[in-house]
Amino acid sequence: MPVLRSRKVDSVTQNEQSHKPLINGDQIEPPTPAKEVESTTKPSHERTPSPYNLVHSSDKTGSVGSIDSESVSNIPLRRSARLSSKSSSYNVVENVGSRRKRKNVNSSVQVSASGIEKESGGSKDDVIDVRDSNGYDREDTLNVQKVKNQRLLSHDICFLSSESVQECDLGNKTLSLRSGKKLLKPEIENVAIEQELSPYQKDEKETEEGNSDTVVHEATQVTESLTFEAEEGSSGTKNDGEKTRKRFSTEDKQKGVMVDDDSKEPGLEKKINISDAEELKIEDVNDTIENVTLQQEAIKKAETSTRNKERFKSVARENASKFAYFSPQEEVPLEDEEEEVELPQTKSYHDMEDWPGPFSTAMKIIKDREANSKTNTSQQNSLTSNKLPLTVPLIWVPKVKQNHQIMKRTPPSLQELCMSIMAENVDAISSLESVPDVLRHRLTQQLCDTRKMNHHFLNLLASGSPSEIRIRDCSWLTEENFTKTIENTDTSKLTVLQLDQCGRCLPDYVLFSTLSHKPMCELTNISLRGACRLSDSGLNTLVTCAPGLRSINLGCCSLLTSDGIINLSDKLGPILKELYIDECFGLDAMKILPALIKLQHLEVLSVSRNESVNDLFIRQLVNIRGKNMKELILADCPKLTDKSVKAIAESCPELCSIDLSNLRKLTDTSLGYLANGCREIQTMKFCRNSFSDEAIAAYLEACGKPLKELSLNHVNKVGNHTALSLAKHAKKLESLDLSWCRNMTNEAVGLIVDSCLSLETLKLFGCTQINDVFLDGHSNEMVKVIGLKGSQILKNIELPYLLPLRYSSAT
Amino acid sequence: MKKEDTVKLISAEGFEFVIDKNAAMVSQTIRNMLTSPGDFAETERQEVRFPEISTTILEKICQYFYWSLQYASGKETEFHIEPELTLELMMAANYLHT
Repeated sequence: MPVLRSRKVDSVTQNEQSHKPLINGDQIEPPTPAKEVESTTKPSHERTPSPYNLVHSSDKTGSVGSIDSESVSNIPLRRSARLSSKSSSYNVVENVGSRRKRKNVNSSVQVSASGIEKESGGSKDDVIDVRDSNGYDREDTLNVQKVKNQRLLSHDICFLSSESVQECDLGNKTLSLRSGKKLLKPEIENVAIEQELSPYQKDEKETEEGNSDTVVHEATQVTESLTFEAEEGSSGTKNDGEKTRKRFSTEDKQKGVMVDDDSKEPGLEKKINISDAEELKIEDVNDTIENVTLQQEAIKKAETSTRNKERFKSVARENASKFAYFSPQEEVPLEDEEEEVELPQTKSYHDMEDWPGPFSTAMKIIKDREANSKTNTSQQNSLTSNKLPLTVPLIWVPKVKQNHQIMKRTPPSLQELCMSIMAENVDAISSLESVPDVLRHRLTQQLCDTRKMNHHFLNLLASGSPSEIRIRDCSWLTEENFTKTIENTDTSKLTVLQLDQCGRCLPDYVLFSTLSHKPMCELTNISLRGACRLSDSGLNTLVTCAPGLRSINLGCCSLLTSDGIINLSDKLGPILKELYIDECFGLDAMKILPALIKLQHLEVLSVSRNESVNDLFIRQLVNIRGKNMKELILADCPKLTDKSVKAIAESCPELCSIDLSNLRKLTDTSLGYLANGCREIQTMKFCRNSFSDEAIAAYLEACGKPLKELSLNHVNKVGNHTALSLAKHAKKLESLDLSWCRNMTNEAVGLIVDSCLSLETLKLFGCTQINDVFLDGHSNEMVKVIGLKGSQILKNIELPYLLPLRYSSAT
Repeated sequence: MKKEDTVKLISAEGFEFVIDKNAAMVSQTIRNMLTSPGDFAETERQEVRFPEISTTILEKICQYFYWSLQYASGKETEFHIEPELTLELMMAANYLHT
């Protein structure tokens, strides 16, 4: 404590621009007590321990001791605080966080609280100024006076927290704010923090001047939304900065709102406690921010607060652009009108969670799971989750290696053997008569894959009166050959014609000269993916000569325009059930919207990789056509947000399959909507979405039962929660893709595989953390693991035989 | 071989192939036929008729059964198939789920 005083604190006067003499001349910064202290005290402040010690001492001695510590710790921060408002906001934010963390003693809280009380006036300014950006050199207002012990204490706490921020930057584990995100020392700390939180908040409440629950709640909401970003952001610093900045502006706005509410202490506490109990661990961060908010408000004076509000807002606005965070999710918050947009969104998430519905129930389950795990001993946590930031203990015992080390290799089936021989000797096959379609398709597929497909075999396929011709890859086929073959084909019974990748052989004129002369009355299913030379007129012709089409696949037909689709829907409006127009870059979503609406029985729609697809399009489409919709493929439509998913969930009750790959703007809210609205989903494809582990787990809890195929490719946050939920609920799951989910441990995957007994295919590309512990330890004999070292890929991916129409009969 | 361990597979021409039960069980179809609950002639008499599978093919299939058991127990050899049989064999194998 004495050390503290050594600081030349003649600058104790508050609210003055008195620049304290810099002891360290190397920096031209607003002199702060912290700085000066640094010069006097040894700069060797360890991150966590010193603040603790210091705080502890401060407890005893009042603010004095704390000042010392804080100043010491503050030093690095001060610098940054000066330079950017961001860091200054850090100060504020981190303040509470670090303070909470460090203050294990309530007395310290009391001290600060009382100090805050005392400080009614200028101290507020001081603190505020500290947070100001460059222009304000008010750090001098740091009152280091003995008299202003408490204020300093609180102020210092700001620094303390800022230090902790920096510590975080350095990978310190103890910052609660960070820990909320990173959780290097997970549960215990946070538990402690939570406990501290309540009493602290209580105190804060007393000292606050009419801060209402509203503010806190709003702040919570805001920060909640921000925490999503925070969660995914690796550059936590920026997140924090933005978070707090954001919070400021919103908070500022809220300030006007929260007028004279008495601080309902129990109410607030309850709210906070509830939020603690309910929310994710990140909520701790929210609480931190809340506390910061509370603290600052307590310190600020009413008149100065308005002024400062303006300042903060302007600061936030100024600096928002500086911190160009690239997450698309954050785009909204960074705009000026963000507040309006932001609040409704956060509110909606709150609604999502609070609204009684399967998703919120599920979320609660997940959180209880988490809460229970938190109270477990750290030992257990460390056992199961050494590297994972936040885990729920997951127990899986791999089976003991059998004594007989003989690897039971399943012999290749006779069909496979035959197939491979036939594929080798294509030209020796003289006829495919009486070969059932299933086998024909499999053989064709194998030939295409091994590039042994040729004209001869095509003729075989087309001979007789074929009912189905499915060729996955027609790139070897020339126009001439195609013309010859089709001329000789009896297409009267043809129901399915698949000529994918036929760009080379199917320009418009070939179509005119061949298919248009053939009666294809029975044709229900045609696929011309990759027909890059097919234009609107060719399509028109096709539709004219195949009036019974129920399913059209025109993916990657880049010459098609909206006119073609409009014509298509005019002719096939009443009967078309499946339409694939993915990657057709010539199509504009809004222009074809009326055409799509005309398709009365549309069940399957794929508009993936189309940049013009936006929320409005989806909303309007599903409003009218959602009742029958069974499959929606919306991958790679970058403009889609949660609003689309909301619309889908509300309007498509029978949805069986949805593909949301690469939709970066989606948040956990989408999962909530889906869980509440679409209860029948069997195929779910995610890729590179930023959903949290808990949200996916909650979705599985609510709707995991019918799920048959799930892809969580590159959904990085997937972890133990998801594993537990899968094991519990996904009993029908047949195919699971966990590629690039680096948080999945051997135990987690083992648990999934041993519990999901229907599982046949498991993809683990990029999961180098999975090794023999899992491979040898799981007891599911049916499952094929693809993607780890040495696993064959093509061989194990067998396309199922699809009926002509996916979801209904062709008749 | 005891009678209880064997099953009889009868081809289209009437040839009867008596093989191990384990071998026959390689085929999922045969397994279901022989073990299905109910009073089926197959279960009772432990024999199955295949009116659409010719003798040569059925013989090859039986050979495959034994080869498959051998493979699973560790001895991995090659199963040779005459090319002219391939197509029919594939169809029969498809029917037998093997």
